[in-house]
Amino acid sequence: MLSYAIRRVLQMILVLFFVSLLVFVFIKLAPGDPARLIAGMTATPDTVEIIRHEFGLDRPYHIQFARLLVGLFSARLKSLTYRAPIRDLVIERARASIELGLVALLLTVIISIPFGVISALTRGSPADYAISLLALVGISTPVFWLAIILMSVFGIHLGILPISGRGATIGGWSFVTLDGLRHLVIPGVALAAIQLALNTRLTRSSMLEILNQDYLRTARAKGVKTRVVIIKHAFRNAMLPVLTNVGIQIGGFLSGAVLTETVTAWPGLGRLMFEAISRRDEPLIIGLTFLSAFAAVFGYVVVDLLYALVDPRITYE
Amino acid sequence: MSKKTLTLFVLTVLLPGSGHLLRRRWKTGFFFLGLLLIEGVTALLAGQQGLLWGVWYSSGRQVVSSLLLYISIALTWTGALWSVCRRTKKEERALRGYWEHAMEKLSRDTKGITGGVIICAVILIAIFAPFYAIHDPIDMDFMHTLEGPSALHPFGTDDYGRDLMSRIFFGSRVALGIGAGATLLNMVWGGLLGIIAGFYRNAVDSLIMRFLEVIGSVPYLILVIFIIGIFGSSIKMLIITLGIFGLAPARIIRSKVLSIRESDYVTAAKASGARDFYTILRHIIPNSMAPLLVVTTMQIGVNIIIVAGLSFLGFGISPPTPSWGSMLQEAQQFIVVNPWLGLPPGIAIMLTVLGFNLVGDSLRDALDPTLAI
Repeated sequence: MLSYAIRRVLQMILVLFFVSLLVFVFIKLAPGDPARLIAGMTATPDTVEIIRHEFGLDRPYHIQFARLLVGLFSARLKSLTYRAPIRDLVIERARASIELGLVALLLTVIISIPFGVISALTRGSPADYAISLLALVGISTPVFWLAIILMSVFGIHLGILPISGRGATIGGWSFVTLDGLRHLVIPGVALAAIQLALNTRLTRSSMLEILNQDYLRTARAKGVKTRVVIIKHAFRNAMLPVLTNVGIQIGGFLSGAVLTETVTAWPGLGRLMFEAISRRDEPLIIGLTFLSAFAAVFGYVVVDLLYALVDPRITYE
Repeated sequence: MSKKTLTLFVLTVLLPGSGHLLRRRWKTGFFFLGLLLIEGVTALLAGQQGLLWGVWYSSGRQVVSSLLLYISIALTWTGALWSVCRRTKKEERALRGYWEHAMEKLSRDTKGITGGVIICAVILIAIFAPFYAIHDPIDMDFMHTLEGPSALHPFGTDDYGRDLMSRIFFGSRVALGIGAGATLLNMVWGGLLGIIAGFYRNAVDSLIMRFLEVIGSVPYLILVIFIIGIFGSSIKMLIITLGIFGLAPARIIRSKVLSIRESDYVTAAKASGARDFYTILRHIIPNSMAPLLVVTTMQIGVNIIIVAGLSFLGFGISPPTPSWGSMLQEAQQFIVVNPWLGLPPGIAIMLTVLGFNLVGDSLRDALDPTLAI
């Protein structure tokens, strides 16, 4: 178990190294001169040169990449447009993102698992059809459109919810104030929608698969009550792939929120990413891409390790 | 030629589908009649705008549409003639294989049919957009901006006074074109990677898998925004980026190939000295076709949503080219003045993607119910 954990972590570091290399190569392949971009179109060639030197853009590529890696880990990498360390920017925005992600995750888990289970248990019934169709509509709906619709219905037409921003915060958290909570509703629902639909489908198919297993038939045959069979035998086993998916989503929520956060002006990491790319802020783009890759890979590894703990059948040789 | 066959033939030449009705093949008959009706309406609309003969004198965008209209009318006739002379279903039942069986299952699934009808409608609109659109999609009219629905503008107008319905119709070309183009690349490139990784195992496999892991560790949308944001966007760039980095098919195909590889017929082929290339072409590809088809169908929907999302953020299709995503971006700016603006493009995206997802779901049920997607 321990050696497996160590191997997985080493693998993770390797993957992250290649991710940062990939990102670096792409940025260097891109047309255009970042120094010129920062200086502005009216700057003199001298100013451009000074900026180029200031940000180390005139060094050889391997040194630039090494400096970048060192900067990433020592958290000293500076944003070009904000002129502030990326670490500070990320910490400043992270609370908003974590908050939003947790709300979306909570909504996903609370709604999708019961719906998926009901749908599987009543297979072929009108309830099953309704849930399946709704889930399919859910994965077909673009999040940003859903956010716009929610904003225009609840924000403008009915006027009961604010349409953008975070509202009042205490210590950087908005869920502690009533105003902040109201601001969380629209982005939270929009962000949750797709994952909710995906998770419902997954729960349903996972439950259906388990319900066909022999050991379930055995349990029923020996007279175990239906409720006990479903809860103890089916549900617990069916939850494994669902929890994997939820674990992966935690990483995804942090970054998958680019669209939701941009549309609802939620000042989180997703919106920061959008701003970074619009302004071609190289270090910030790299830092954020790295962070989202880190969150995703970390999610995978944690889920993998939890699996080994939860399911005794899995042994990693 | 017997007298009965001659009657059928003449009837079909006069009106495709009528011959089928005479032989009580209702479904096929009404299918051809419906096709003819749609083509008739399209031709009428085209004629009304003086575009029907566009192919002869105009160099504008209606040329392709006119040509395709002629081709589809010709195909309707030849198809009807060909199918009326064919054996009926009952006589053919003995000949059926895996794909025919799946098709039959598919044709009975309400989900699949609904999705198919939606997709056909969108394709029809995309091809014949110049005929169905009453206005030019980029014609501005500053006297009538941000209007609600009216007889002249069924879906209203946007902030430049452009007709929303025409923009939706032309926007379907962008959505479908990029969606289909990128997905085709996904299918070929992702399928190839999956087949090679699954078939050769060992070093090649782990190399490809590590590559997939690196690409997969960055969330798809972030990766695509990153690349498009850096290299600039054009339709070609969008297709290439989505095509190369949408690697969802590769993993699924690989796991399928792994199981096919262990099957007896592959072992037999190897034992009898078949070359790898032959085995892949003859055994691996045909047998991994079913999951590939299901995954690609779903992938078209994903790609359409991603393109819309990119355009919405301003990294995708640049104005004035009408695209559903950038229309939503405009709609958001005027959400207070005219909340109606965001409805048509959003519904267009949702319905199109829903169509592909419905068909994908139904395809999975028919071809490979164990596939976990």
